[in-house]
Amino acid sequence: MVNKSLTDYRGVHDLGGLLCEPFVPDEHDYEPWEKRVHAVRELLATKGLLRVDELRRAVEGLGEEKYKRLSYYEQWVWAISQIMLERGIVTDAEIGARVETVHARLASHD
Amino acid sequence: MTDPMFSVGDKVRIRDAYPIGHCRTPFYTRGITGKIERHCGNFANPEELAYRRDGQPAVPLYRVRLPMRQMWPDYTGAPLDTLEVEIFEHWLEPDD
Amino acid sequence: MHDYTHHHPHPNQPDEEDGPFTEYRLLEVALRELLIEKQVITQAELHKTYQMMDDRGPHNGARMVAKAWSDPAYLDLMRRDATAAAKSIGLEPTWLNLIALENTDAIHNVVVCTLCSCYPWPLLGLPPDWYKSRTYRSEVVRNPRKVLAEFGTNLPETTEVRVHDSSADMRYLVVPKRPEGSEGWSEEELAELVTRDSMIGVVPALAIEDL
Repeated sequence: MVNKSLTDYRGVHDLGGLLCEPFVPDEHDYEPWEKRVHAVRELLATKGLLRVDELRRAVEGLGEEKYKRLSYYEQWVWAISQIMLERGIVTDAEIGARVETVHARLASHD
Repeated sequence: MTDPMFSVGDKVRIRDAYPIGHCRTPFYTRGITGKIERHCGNFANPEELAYRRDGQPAVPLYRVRLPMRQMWPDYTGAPLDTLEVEIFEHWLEPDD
Repeated sequence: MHDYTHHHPHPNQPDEEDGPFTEYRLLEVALRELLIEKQVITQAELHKTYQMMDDRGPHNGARMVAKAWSDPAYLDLMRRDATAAAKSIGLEPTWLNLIALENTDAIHNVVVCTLCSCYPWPLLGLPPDWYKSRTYRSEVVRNPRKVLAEFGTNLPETTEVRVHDSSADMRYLVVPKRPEGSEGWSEEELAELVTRDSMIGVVPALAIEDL
């Protein structure tokens, strides 16, 4: 029998009632890159290539340290990438190579 | 379509269960009793959808009203305060 | 409309003013470029999606609330089928399964998603950070009156606070109480009183003297 007060089966995302730091209502304007992540996510969902349930499952699998540290759209871009890998839409080799290319391109702009 | 097992006003208990996968039953509501507020319709099971299965047959989804004092014995707000949460039928059992 | 890709000759390049290129920012660019190259998505589809996102915002929810305040038949439809009520005034046809929650002297509704960040985007736009924060999600189901007080909302003990944890398939729009002194106002005027936060349920609608 799982002990509710001790279980590790509670997901890192399942926060209701866990008192952490005091609540402060803050917000920032969405950055363009965040809106792009949102748009890609919606477009993939519309095309039937990404379910919200899958996306959430991938976010929930981040692990506690990353879940706490990453911003919302950092979590999303990570999770969308994981699902694209799982579905065979992109390969890990392709993502790795493209990240290097993008990095080099941006560095050359400095 | 699966007929809903519960009706508005029925007393129900949210199952005290701890699966390890994706699910939509918040931890803090498990084992709590409340009343059916409405049947929202039937929806594909997210516990299956998350792993790319089809989630069929669709499962009745309810809104369940829970008294705050039941969930949090040390609740300091007003005694009449409540919470409503969407719970799939397979997470509910009759509370007699 | 925002230009999501301005100042750069390469249409897929992120904006320099966005801040440092973290690993996640790099991943965003890499993934998007790959999806476009593989023709999984197109640049044109993305631009259409940006446009759709820009058309969303609290002005949509505010139209519904203002109409519900002025038109008893519309309020009745909101109560029975809020999704149909949204569609009936030409709002984005949507996947939303919407429920309208009316605030009264007896009941004050407030919405959260403790498991992620469920929110009625077509009617309110993208949510504020605090709505997605760990602290709001953990605290508002435990000490709702304390959280409401952070927004300056202090309710009497005789008002039931009803928290809605929106973590499955339904989405929620709070219909705040109609401000006193707004009798005879047009729907357009009334909509000015309806803020995003009042439709999440953390504050009342604006008072007429706030305009």
